Amino acid sequence: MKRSILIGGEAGRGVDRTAALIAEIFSDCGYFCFVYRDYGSFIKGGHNFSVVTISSEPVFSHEDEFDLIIALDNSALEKHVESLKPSGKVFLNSDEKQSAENVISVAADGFAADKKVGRSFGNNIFIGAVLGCFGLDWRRGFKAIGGRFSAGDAAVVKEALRLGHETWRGESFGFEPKSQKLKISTGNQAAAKACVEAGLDLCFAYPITPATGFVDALSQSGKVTVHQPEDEIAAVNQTLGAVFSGAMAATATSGEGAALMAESFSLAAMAEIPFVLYWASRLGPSTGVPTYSGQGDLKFALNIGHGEFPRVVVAPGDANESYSRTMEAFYFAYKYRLPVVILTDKNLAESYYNFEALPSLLRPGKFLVKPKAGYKSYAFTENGISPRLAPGQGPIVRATSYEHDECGLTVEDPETIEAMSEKRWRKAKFLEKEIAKLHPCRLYGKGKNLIVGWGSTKGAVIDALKRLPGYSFLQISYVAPFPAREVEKIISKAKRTILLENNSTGLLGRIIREETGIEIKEKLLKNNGRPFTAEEIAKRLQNRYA
Amino acid sequence: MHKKKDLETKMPITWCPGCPNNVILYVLKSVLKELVDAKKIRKQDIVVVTDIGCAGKIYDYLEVNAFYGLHGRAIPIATGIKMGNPGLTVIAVAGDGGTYGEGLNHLVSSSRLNPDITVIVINNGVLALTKGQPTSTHPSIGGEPIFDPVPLALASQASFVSRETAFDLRDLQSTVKAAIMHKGFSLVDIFEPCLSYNNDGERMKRDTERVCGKDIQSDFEESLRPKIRTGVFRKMSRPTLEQKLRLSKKKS
Repeated sequence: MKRSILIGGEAGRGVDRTAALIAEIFSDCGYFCFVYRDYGSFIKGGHNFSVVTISSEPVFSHEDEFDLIIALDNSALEKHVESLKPSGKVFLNSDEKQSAENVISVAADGFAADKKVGRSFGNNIFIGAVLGCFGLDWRRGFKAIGGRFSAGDAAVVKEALRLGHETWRGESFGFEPKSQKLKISTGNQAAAKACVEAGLDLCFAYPITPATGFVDALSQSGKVTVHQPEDEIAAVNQTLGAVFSGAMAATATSGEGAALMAESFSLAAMAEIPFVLYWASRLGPSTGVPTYSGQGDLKFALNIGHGEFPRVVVAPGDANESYSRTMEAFYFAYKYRLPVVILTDKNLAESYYNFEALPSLLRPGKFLVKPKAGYKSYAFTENGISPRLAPGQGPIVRATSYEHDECGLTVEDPETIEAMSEKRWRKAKFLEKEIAKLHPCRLYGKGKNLIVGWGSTKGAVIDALKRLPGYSFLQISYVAPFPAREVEKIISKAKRTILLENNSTGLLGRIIREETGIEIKEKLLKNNGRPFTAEEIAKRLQNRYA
Repeated sequence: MHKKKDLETKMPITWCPGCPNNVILYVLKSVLKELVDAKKIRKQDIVVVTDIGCAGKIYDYLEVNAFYGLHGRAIPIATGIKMGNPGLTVIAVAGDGGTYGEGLNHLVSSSRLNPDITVIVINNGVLALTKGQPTSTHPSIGGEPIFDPVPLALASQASFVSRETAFDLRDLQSTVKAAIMHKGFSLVDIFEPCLSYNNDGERMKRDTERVCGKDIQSDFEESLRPKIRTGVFRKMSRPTLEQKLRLSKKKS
């Protein structure tokens, strides 16, 4: 059982909120949901839409065709009616009777006016109508979301759900509530939850789509102090300062903000200050299309910062991985004293997924030691990791952008330069061994034809595999350090390999070639800001290899 | 701590012979010693954050916790350190190139937000270590007017704004001490010549006029006169950034 709902209307009209509430209700009733959010750069006006996919089976992407369209205005109907399935219905925000048989009027604006509440409150009538259409009692819907509203508002919502439910008179889709309950989360929210559990004290961030939702979630947790400085350069340097003085801190941005942080990324590496950068990409180059998605920053994330140094770049593929990989990011940054990028994108950061915080195998922490006489900030050790001490406890603690000796004092002699560089790289060998245990890449399915990808495309590919017998999917999550041997082994066993990425040149393919020598010639690329859908992947592959 | 030597590393000083930076280093060491001896601060809590260039070299000469930062970024690093552990005494030492050029944005912002840090700017009008290119405070590039950070800091609502020269040891000492003890953002702009590239000490001495003790609240005209005005232009009390964010001291 799988149904798809599109909700469309002007910005500021509650499209996103309505979609999230619907997904929350159905998840609470045990159904799997995915919500794709499509919006432009405006606060009011324009046209936004969200697509909610509801299924009795796990679902990780949205559909191209809809069983229901919720049109908050006429323009939403005009824009999307062509994607309505033949049996599909439309709920239109109107108090007039409709001539078309499959268009049902829902007097949402009238309700809001009657109750003297904001227009977006009327959207709850649509939610009631959806419940009717799917065959769920409106009271069950209210039970799932009532707690989100104040007592006064809840009474209005309750009435709206009841009234909306009455609008539906046809046969229902038959979605009975199940005993299991599921939760939803965006990639941003899931990563923020991991930060809170890792023990994050401070987040310094300058607002930028699509990373802002992550920072908002940290702020809403009430457990992390969020500070908005004057720019990204201040954000990253304040982060490094705070970590140096003993706090757990992080920053978040998108590609443009990362560009401004590049110099300090290299500082984190040289000074060996644990640094976690949550990097949510949007479509570039430059301002590009700021509210749409792309995977064009992969090579930039791998190369950001001047000079040579070990780093970690990890790319989660869904909300559960946003959580678990963020936990790992804090663990590696603090244990190994190096910069770690969590590379995500708008599709993953802002879409709603079913979410479960799976227990992490690793325990993130600050990895600080107790003060001891003779402490040296950059002591040579067997694994290259110098014990980290916070200042204020007696021993002198130093951090420096300059090449330095064990105490952190400036050097320019060739022997120490070489020894220190070697010390930093020594950490990488131990790091790689630990990462190898965490499925740095993962194979899904058994087909001989292999799709290779990373990041947010995972959802659509996993959903597409159901329609593609004979195909399997290799997801690469750790891009640095790169799991070269495993990737090589899997690709060399495949009959045919297809590279799938949301960018225009196949950046992962170039990295695979660099790391393994294997060139993947067949590519399925998309770079128009929109994510792949499962159907699109299946069709494009079937057409190509029919 | 009983000897000033306890604040010294064994690193050889690589400033040019006779560089007035030595005076600033001396003043900083003696003020820190005095404050530590008087138990106003603990030595283990001192963190000095530096820019790069000639001013940044001070990182290697002081035996205290220290962070050798990036050009123009001493202020945000110092702010982050203070927010990470408000129990620390955080002093940024940077040049005019970094503070009034590359990282000017941070001066405005920190003045407003008032983290409890001290910013000491060694202002010699040149980017000396790259061999003397002029900065915004250089007097003679094609007759362009000189940038004056004092009115900017005042307009940005810094809670402690001062200027001294490297010639007047006693004034410099008392102002640096007051700045470190001030609860909030404090700026100490220190005028000095660069013996190699902007050796105009005589003019500096001639043109300097002291206005200290007047506790000017926001009198831009006072600092904008043709003479180099020195003294404490503002000292006022208001909540710090750490207090507003309710950040607490780390136990040690």
